Amino acid sequence: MGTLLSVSELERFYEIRRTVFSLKKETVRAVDGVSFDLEDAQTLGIVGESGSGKSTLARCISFLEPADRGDVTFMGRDWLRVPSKERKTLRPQMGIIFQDPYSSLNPRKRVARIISEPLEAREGSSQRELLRSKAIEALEDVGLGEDFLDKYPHEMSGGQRQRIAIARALSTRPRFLIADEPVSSLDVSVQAQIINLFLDLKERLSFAMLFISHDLNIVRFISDHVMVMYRGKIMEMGPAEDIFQTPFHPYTRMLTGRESNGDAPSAEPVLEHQGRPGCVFFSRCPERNKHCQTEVPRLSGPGSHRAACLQYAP
Amino acid sequence: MEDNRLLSVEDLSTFFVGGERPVKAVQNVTFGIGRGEAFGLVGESGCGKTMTALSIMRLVPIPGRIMNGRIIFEHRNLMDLSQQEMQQVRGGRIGMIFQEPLTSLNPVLRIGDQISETLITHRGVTARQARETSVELLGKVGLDHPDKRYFQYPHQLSGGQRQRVLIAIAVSCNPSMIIADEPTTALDVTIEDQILRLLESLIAHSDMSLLFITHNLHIIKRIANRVGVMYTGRMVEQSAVEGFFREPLHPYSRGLLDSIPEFTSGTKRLNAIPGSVPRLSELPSGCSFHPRCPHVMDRCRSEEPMMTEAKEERWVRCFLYQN
Repeated sequence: MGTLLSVSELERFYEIRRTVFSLKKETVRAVDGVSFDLEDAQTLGIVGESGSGKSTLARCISFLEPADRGDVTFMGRDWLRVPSKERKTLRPQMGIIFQDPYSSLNPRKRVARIISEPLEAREGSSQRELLRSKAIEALEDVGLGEDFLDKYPHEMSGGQRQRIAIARALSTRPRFLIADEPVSSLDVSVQAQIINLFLDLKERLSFAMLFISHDLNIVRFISDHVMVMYRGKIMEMGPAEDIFQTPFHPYTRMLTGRESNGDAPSAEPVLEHQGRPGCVFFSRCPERNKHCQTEVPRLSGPGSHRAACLQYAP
Repeated sequence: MEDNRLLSVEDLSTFFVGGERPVKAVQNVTFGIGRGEAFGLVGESGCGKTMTALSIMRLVPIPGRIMNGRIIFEHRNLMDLSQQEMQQVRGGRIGMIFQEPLTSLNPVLRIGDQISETLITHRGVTARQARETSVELLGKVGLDHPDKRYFQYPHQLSGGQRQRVLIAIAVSCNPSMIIADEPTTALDVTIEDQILRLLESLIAHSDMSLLFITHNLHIIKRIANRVGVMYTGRMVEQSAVEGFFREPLHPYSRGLLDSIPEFTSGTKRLNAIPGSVPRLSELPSGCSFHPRCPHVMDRCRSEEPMMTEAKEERWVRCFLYQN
């Protein structure tokens, strides 16, 4: 097994004005020095509250958004800096699924077009027969039949739409799939079907996956490794079972409900804390001490299970 | 038990009329809530849980209509009340909390004034008294600096804080019941935990009852004493919470629990329910769950089961439990 994706010191900052009339611009560190590796055919789950930078990270990796600094190595290539022509040839190796199947599918296109677009980009639009047969194959992958080819998105339920989104993402047989909250907008019973579908497809097609969700139980069920993010930084990372059974970081323990979080403020990016020295979690941490205010914890720990917390430094 | 009843909904049906066929959003729903009790109503989208709540408050949107049923609340049938009397009940005797804290607050009014408004309307207090009580309430629901918060606008608060304001409005007139419709769905897990704890403590310190509507079974397990499961407008199971999570009776309830990693009996895969929820306008014959049911019998395709008491305090609408 080789390393498929390697992210190193990735940063993405936004400049915002606090109100429309503010003269001063302030910086929100959406992704702040994130590094990790993803092996072939492995699933890395990313959890964190809203505003923790999960989606921005995914968008930077998929080049939907430029990163400000850092490196992404995908299939051995310097992904963020390769010439656009080469990126185009690598693109089909990376599939993306978004949260909302209502807005991620073009309402004016039929399923056949929606699914074959990524294929068309690779094969060229002249290969009509090939595209159609591949589209049918992709539909069968996700448990839908040929009769769906001529449907429009509005004729389908949320679960069916999400299946179409999965079929589209996997139509090029990518080695890497980014799934950003793929089941969050679905009903419980449909959610379970889609999760099973992911597991089946992964077994059959063996791709690596970045699975973003705020639902910890689902992430635990589906992931090999888990990464916990807070305000753009990795708080803890390691094998899924280790993270959930013996969480190191106070934030992870809070998320998993092992520790009550008092009446702490929410995780929505609070500007005052941006760019300050010390741990980003300081203001909410039940175990903070004076060092936490000045020293920035580095991700460290025994083996592959590591946490960014001074209290757990080896 | 009967004396202790605060609310009893009997044979409630709410239909949407006007199309080719009426859409039966709520059909023959019967349940009760005792004083101090927390009743959880679960189900997937479109199962009628929100319409049940809106029917209780007689706020069903047009062209919906309550076709049948009695809603006995504090010994009065709400169906017989005039609009004016009903307004005294809403907000006065029944507090309401909705899912979207941003859209249920008026964006151009100070949050304090929105609480005061309720107090002035229902309790007839003076503006000054209302302000004092409002500040007190803001503190009670856990907002810092309540005297300053009073003058803030909804956009200055985070989602969790807004939900706290809604809770303050809901409890402002000491209602005997609160209806909370997915109050934490838009919030992060950590904030959800805070809001649930706030609701728990409010109930614990009064004899307020709670009707909690959610699709999240974790929350039901945590907050409710009894649970009702709805599917396509019908109540399919009603049970005490402990028994329900130990042994769900209706095949749909079993399927719901199995769809969640924490409760599933599957290890490598979830035991998902096949198919999807049918549209209310195209309901299958017989038991509406029969096309998805693993225990389907001939009878289920043509006949509709009645709600029967399968075990003590446990009601289920399924032929498996009818001898």
